Amino acid sequence: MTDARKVVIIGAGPAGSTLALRLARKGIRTVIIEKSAFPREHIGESLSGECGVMLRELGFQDQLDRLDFPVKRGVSVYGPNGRGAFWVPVGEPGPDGTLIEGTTWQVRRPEFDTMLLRAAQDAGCEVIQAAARAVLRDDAGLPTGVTLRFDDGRTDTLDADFLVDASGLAGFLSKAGVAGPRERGSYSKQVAFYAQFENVRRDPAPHDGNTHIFYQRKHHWAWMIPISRTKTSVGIVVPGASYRASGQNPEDFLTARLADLNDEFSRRMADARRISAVWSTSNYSHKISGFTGPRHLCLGDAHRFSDPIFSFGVSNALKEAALAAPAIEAALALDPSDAAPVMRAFESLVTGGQDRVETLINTFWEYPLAFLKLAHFDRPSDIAELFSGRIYDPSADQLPAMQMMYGLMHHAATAERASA
Amino acid sequence: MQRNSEFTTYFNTWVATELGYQGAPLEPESPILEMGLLDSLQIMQLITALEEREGLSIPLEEVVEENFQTPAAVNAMVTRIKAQP
Repeated sequence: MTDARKVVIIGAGPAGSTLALRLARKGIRTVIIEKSAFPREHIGESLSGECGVMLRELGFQDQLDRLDFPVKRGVSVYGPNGRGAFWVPVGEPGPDGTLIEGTTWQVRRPEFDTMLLRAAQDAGCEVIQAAARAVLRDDAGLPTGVTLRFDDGRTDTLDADFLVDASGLAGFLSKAGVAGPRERGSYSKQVAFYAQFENVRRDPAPHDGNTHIFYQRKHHWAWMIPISRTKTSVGIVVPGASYRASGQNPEDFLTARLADLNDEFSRRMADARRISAVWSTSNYSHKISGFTGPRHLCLGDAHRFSDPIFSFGVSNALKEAALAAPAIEAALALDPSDAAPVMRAFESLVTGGQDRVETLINTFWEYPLAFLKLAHFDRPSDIAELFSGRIYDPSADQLPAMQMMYGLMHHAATAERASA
Repeated sequence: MQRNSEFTTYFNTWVATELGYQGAPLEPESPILEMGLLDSLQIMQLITALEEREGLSIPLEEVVEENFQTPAAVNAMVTRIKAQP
């Protein structure tokens, strides 16, 4: 039986589509507003272990196999001059709950995102191709719908009992003033340049689908993510100032960094041939506080994005959608005043997850050798668990590795204050 | 503080026996990381050796490249940690 209450979701990326799928399976009416025609290109191809588990639970194993996406078994990280190299296997919960080595996927986003959207549609979700423009609100200021603008210039309005912003970096509800203002994130001065290549030197099978990350000095790094049997997504991330100082165009800048960013990176790119344009992106690191209310919430990149180094983006999106579905179901059955605490609990849970993601990334950049010691020697299973997705579970704070990282970041903050 | 010359003698023995280093003897200010003498695994090996020799535990915040640039820098780190209550 389909409920008459309607959840309107802005954005058909992995967060929006999997939320729609989960809600539709609960019998809740969903409408996705998406401005782009699918399939469309998107960056962010690597999934975590828990993300693989969620996709299997949602029933996508066969489709993912048919799409022949590369199987990811782990991540190798290479530091400068052979210092700071470590390996983190993909982990997933074993039968007794402990972490065992598992596999997940690297995905081509046009196909992956289309697969998820079709599944949502098949489950009953309506998809409208239009741009969401403004938020309609009632006397109490609660969202009651959105205005739409179609490609041909027509406009329309759509009622909503609950509004979800899964618009990614566009941050729809923040711009509309419904969610809090957008703040710059810790990595807001970074820029990324990326393209697809053939003939990239991978590890031998069965490890030929793994992610490789290379770093030079602080905040200068590169990724290598296989996205088919022959194609590899390759990108570099550097402070914007270092790009501007080069005076180079994106193509030349990327080519130059392939040669000098990291010896191991250059070795693997020696015979590589670029088969796509060079894309670039900047200003992606941001944070929005106050991203839920009794009748709205923001998911994934729409409220926070720090640094893409450990490929948490799609996994966070799927995880937050999984946490949002029961929260929205509960909120829809409650008066706004009773729904507010439900949404605050969701916001606090999600903020905790994103805070842990950022602590992990900050520790890596501030203390790369100490991070290596933790990841490779002292607490490898803790780090594998965090990378695999346990990062949204509040109990992750009890992991010794997490405690040690909090200690390191506290030390860094104290040292910074002392030197200021 | 352990004299840098004393520590460097120990360090020379360590790199010879543990890493098979056969080059010219290292000086207190030899740039051991720049020379490529220690990779990441060997830094970790050195940490373990130092912890055993000195009976101390090197906290994670000391595991930074600056503390492993030269034998003198390693010695200064060990001395600093030993001085802590």
